[in-house]
Amino acid sequence: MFPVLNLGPLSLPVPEFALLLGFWLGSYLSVKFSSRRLVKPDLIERILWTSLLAGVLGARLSYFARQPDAFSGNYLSLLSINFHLFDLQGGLLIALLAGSWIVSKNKVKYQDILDSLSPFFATMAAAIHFSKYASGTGYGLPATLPWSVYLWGDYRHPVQLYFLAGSLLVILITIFINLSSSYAQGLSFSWFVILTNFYLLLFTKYQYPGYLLGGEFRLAQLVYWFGLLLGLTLIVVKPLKSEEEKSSHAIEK
Amino acid sequence: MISYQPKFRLLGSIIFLLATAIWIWFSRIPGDFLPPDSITAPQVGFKSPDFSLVTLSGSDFNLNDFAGKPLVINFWASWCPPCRAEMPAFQEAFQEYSDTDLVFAAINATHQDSLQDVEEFIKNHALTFLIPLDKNGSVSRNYNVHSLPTTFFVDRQGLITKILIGGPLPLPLIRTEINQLLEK
Repeated sequence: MFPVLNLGPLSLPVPEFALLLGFWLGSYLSVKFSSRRLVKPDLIERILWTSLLAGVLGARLSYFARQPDAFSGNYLSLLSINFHLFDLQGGLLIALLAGSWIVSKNKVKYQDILDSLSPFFATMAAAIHFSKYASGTGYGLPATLPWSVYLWGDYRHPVQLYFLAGSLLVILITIFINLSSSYAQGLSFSWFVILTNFYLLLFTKYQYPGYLLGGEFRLAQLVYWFGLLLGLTLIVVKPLKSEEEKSSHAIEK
Repeated sequence: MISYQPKFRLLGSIIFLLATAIWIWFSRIPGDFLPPDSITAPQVGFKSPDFSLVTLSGSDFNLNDFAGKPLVINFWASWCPPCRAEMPAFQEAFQEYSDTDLVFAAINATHQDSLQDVEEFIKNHALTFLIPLDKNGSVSRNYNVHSLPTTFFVDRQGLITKILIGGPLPLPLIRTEINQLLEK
């Protein structure tokens, strides 16, 4: 794997750089295709950049809140540029709150925003998979296949690349839906949720297992299955209800 | 775009969910599955590779001798600015945790450093922890060290719990990782 790219005297941390690149590319795609929806591109840009800034700040403050004693006598470290001094969960939560605040302030429908952001989410998923490939984490099960990679003492499934291929396909599909003329509100985001959970569930079979349920079932796959259920509910149950409503209105008339 | 009948959509979704549930069943982990903690590799969750080196003071450093103790293994060189910058933080942490069984080892990449510069740097910064010398670079290679500094945190079971590539590591980060090691 290649966790670091040495460019002369400069050492570039590839996994972190991949995430930043993913953010930039994802925001570009979402801004570019948001014009097809009822969301102004500059609003999408504002949501993403405000969320990023709030997320970075929140991640650092959350790290501090969790480990206040560790900073004793070293409060200037709060300003450190070190990537490891961030709390991911706290940062994501703050970013989500900041993004939601902008959405509610501008009185835009969440479905339209989520549809416009679907290419961004899919691109970030691709960036995360590439980041894991670069750092050698989230590695696959041992396998003797022509495309196996030698990693951590064995030939293994390049499972991060399977995930990456899945996410690239999802990027294309979400863009295709955003470009299509027959737009149904929430469709792009629903397909993002369905397809992402589907490829994750599918390829997790070849990944080195994390948490197991009952000693043999992968917890991650069960989480993805429920994600799949949620996505399908979004496109099946909701339209079913609305069509039932339509037919009941028709009967009343 | 979706012009199927609602009932077919529902039926298709149910079949799809059932098919994926069957896939989960076939993805079960076999009983003879080898957990990563039984494999030696320089990655989180694996057993840290064993090595033997001679320290700057001339004593032997065998990783096996520290079995059962938490370890902080830092790879560095005297010419590397972030390595130089983080050494005072390591020294401070070393002193703070001196009443625990934590072991600090700052492995110098001697194969790409000058012994004279190393000695001078250690003296100037009054570093008191162990400085094993990787004279032929074999340990750096075994630990997949692509960039300096790189720091490994190893728990009492000999498993790598964290790898921090790059630096300088701020003292709060070092403290946090050590606290987590000691809590295990």
